[in-house]
Amino acid sequence: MVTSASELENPAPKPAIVPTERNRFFWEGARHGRLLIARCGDCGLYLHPPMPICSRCHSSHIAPAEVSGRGIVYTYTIVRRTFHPGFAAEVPYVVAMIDLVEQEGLRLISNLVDCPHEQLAVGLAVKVRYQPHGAWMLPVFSLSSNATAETAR
Amino acid sequence: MSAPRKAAIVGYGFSDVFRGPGLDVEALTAQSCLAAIADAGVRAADIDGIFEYQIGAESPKCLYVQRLLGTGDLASYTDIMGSGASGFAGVVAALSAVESGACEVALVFRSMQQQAGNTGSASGDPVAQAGYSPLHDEIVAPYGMFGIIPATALRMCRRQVEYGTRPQDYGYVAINARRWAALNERAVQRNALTMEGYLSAKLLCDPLRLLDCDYPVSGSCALIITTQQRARDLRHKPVMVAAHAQATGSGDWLHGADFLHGGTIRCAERLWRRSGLEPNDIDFAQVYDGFTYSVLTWIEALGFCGLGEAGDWIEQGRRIGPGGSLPLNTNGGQLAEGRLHGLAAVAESVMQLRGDGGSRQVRDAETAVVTVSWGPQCAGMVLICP
Repeated sequence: MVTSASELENPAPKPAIVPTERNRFFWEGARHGRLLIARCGDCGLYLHPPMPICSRCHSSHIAPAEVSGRGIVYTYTIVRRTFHPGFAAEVPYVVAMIDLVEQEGLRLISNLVDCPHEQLAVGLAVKVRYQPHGAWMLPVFSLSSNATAETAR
Repeated sequence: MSAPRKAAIVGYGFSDVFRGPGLDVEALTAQSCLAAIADAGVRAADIDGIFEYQIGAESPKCLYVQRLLGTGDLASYTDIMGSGASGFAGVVAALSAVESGACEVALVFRSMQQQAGNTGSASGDPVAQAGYSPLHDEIVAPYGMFGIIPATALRMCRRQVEYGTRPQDYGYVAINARRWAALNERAVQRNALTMEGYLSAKLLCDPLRLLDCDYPVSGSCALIITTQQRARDLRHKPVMVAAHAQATGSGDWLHGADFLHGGTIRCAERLWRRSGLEPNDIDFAQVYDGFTYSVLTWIEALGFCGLGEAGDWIEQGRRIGPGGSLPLNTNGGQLAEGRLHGLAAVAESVMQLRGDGGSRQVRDAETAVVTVSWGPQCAGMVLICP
């Protein structure tokens, strides 16, 4: 997609964060620097994206639970195409799937930021941080200090 | 699964297939349905079932088409949308209706009008899909994660780590599509492709290139399905549906444990069990090629080779090309004929099994496997015409 100079000067907005009844806690948590994931109060299963009942035990006792924000890169891609005008000034950027350490297969779609593309790899240890997005904050990930040390070695 | 009645595919039809300006989607639907009716040798008044799938609201619906064609009263009909079994959702519903006795002569169509410049299967408009999007747009769009192209790129990256798949493995799939398309006058991408050409195609989302995506077109394809008994009296040798199956796997495009193969493996298991056939019995295959990635993983899921081995198994395209031991996507697939969302693969199979394939006819073709879509929206069929 061709981006004109005027578009770069007056960038279109990115898709807004529009909290729903189901995921409002996720965005509210990020605003306060906490990564909150829906969790079953009866069997302990984390559910992401959030759902109104537990898919394992069918309990309706679902509540946000704070997690460590530590994870491992399961996979990633460098997005080069502008799929949305709000991202015209961002390309290329990294979309990654992060496996959170709290539960096997508890996977978050997010951005990997502040990581040179040549250092990108599956299996990197990452840690959550927060980036402004309109009136809200977006949980994104960057290399954790351990991973940086390992890469440097 | 033993069906009370056997179903046969007795007719297929295409509209014009094109990029850019042309007929509107209603006129395209009329073209494909009339062509299928004529091919089958039935009358519009004989049709008592209509079934169709669409992703959103891009196509006419059953009752519109009843009025369009002047069919009689419909004994069974269904508009299927969203997370149904994609391009085959209508076909599978029609087969079940005919097999069960809910209707006698079923019409299935899939119609689409694709804007020029909209590459691949991405909507490009996450906001329009928010709510119950199978790709969770409401929570991932703020990250710049839009639709199926990045979702496929994420799989390609992971597959490289788990199975060592090379860019060239995808390239041979893209090249294969063009080799077959050169023999198909309907195909919109008929010029030859070299590996250099593939590798120099624009990267959209590493490691996914533009030529890994199917080619959006405007067009419509329709099928006529009826019972084995009625089929005997019609124009063509009937193509029998030995088995059909669906599968959803984990049921999630992004967060499931079956990230690399989705529901394809379960769908294939059902197809072989229900048909009593196995990969060795198959003369040619039409597997879904929304992306080159889908082709490699469907080949593995169907058991033609082990998981992760399709890149080597296709033998740089020799095995799946014209004259190969498993001709694959003999119309050029969606990568080269154009994206008609699965139904064109069925029509191509019927043509081949009738022996009407002309310059691209697979010799002595009696059995075929056809699959559609991927992830949690898989479906497939085993077709025979002995």
